[in-house]
Amino acid sequence: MQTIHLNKFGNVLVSRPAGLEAFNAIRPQLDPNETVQIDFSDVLTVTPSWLDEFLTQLTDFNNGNVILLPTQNASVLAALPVLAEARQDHVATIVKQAMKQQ
Amino acid sequence: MNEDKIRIGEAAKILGVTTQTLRNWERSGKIVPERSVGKQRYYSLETLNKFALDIQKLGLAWSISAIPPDLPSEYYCERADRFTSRLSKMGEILLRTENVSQDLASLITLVVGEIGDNSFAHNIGNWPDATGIFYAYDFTKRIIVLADRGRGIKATLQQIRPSISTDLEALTVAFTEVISGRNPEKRGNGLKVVRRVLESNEINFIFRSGIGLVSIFPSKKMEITMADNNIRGTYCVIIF
Repeated sequence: MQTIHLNKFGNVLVSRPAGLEAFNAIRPQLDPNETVQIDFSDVLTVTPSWLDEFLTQLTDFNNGNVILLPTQNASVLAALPVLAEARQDHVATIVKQAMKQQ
Repeated sequence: MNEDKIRIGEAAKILGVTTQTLRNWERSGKIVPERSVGKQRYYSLETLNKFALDIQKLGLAWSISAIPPDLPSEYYCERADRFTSRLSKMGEILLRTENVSQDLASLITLVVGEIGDNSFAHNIGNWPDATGIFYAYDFTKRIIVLADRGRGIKATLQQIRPSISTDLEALTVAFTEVISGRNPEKRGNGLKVVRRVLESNEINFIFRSGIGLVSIFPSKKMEITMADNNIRGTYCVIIF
């Protein structure tokens, strides 16, 4: 199991280009055949644009084998229901699983 | 006394208030003077200028003037990377601000991040005149203002939905539907999350584009009405 600690990318994660850049930066360290966990600890804010882009890239890369670790981060908890409704792909699936565990 | 050290009587004249008001503001933490060695109150000119500056009026001027007005450099983000860096700093300051919980700091930063980032994402390569955004905050007044001189919400959304004919319709679509002015990219969720956050938290929010006005106040549903003057791009005020 691999874990991505989002605080490596900063305390405030904003914009799609930055979400894409973060994925491109971490991709060489990821094994597409292994599950990836996302850890939101020690991040103040993840905007929906950043999160959507990062998850889209990551789930395309490893066929949706992603787990969002439980979090109390208010910005993440606000974004998840909207992403779950708006998307009909791997992103929606992993977001719905995460919402069940919150 | 140094030129920059202004005594309470003079400071009151500069701000157009009484010395008693200044003392009340000191007690409430709204504007706190420094003390000389002899324990006398004094205010720096920089503190008074910052306090007197009305960031709402300045932001509005940026978004409605025919010619872009000069902005203090600390309020102008010409490029997105400057906005992002100032947003991170704002988040840190919010965390240290009295009566702001970590959750509220997280959510306010989300709202500001989405609004400011949208200005850049939807106008890149298409700014009608001045690029970039006005972005200012004053936490003594618990207010944040963002404004741009971009194309506005209607022109952006008309690219993918030409049937949109009014600013009110455009704002309704932007805040309620998952739609993107950058179709076919999979995007367009940001303002829906913003609305969700605002409708369930103690935050006052107005957002204007063209003659459309979105208002979201604590414990109330979003309202979209017509304003009495035209905003060139977008103008947003957040009070918490």
